[in-house]
Amino acid sequence: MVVTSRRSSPIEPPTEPDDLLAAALAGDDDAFRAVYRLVHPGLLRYLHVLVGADADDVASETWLQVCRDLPSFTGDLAGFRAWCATVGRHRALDHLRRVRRRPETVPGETHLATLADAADTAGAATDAVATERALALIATLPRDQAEAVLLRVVVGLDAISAGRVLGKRAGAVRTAAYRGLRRLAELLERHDG
Amino acid sequence: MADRDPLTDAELDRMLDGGPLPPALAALRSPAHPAELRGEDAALAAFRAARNPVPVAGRKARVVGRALVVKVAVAGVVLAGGGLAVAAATGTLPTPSLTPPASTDQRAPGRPGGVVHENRPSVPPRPPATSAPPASPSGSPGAVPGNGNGWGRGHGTGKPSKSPKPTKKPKNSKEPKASTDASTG
Repeated sequence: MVVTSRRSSPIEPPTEPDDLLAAALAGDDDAFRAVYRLVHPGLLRYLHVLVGADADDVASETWLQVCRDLPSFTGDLAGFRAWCATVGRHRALDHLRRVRRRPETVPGETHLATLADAADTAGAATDAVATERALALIATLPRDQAEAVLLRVVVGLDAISAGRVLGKRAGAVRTAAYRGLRRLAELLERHDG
Repeated sequence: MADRDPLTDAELDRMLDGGPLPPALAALRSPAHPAELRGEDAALAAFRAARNPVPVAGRKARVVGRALVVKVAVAGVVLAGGGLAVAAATGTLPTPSLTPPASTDQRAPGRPGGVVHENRPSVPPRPPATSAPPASPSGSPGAVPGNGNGWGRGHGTGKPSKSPKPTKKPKNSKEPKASTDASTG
């Protein structure tokens, strides 16, 4: 009844995320751009915690591979996000092996100084600096917790998909994300006094 | 130590599932900043290139060359196998030069291991011959027994000397089967 089939408006570009992805998979430039804007920020922020300043490079490697393997992809946007995160994570770990570095997680104390700034700028949530500081906070977590929080909160995956990206069970991801968030809350509370 | 109760699992689940975050973390979900979209045009270029593959010249030449090698190797196997099949069916190996070679032999190399089209272009243009031309274009019938027994001898194994290595398999990171149906529900 309600279904006014998508055919009825063939000229209008798709707006639903899954339709956008379908159009992109069919080769539509504008749809790809839209999907990129939906997926890339979260992906880049995730990579930023893993590889720091090299995140832009790793992200472009990721998109290269994603575009190349696009014909083999089937699924909706949630699946696409998870796939991009998987590819990105592999590229990031490759990158770290190449530069012989460990992922950039640092002891919590070193970032306590950023807490005040994060609180100050929290109102301006659209500010790139606020995003950077929040990511710096995540980076103070142990890596498994940081990745779990990032994939769930920033990339927007559910626990099952995040577990697939990390090669873990959903339960393990849930636990790690809980621990990470509790730890951050504690850190923030303690700082606030 | 803790002044307040720690966050409950339900509260944490809400945060993880898209609910409000503590103020200091809210910016994690902020919309894309302009600087974060610097790579958009490059990504679009990659998208277009993957959609309409226009390989770099050198790479294309390499691929074509490799494909040719594979084709020649396969042709060798097929021809050798065909000869063996004939020999097996008739019980004898075909004698050279009595009859014009079978159709497959027309294109066969003049000697084992030879390149298929090696002799072809160098055939001098002959006046239209009324009689059957000799099987060997080189004009020295005794030198190499065209497609006779030597052909089978050199390919006793029926395998090309170098195993054909097909095109390189693209490195697949992971099968994107993520969202079959396990996550729905």
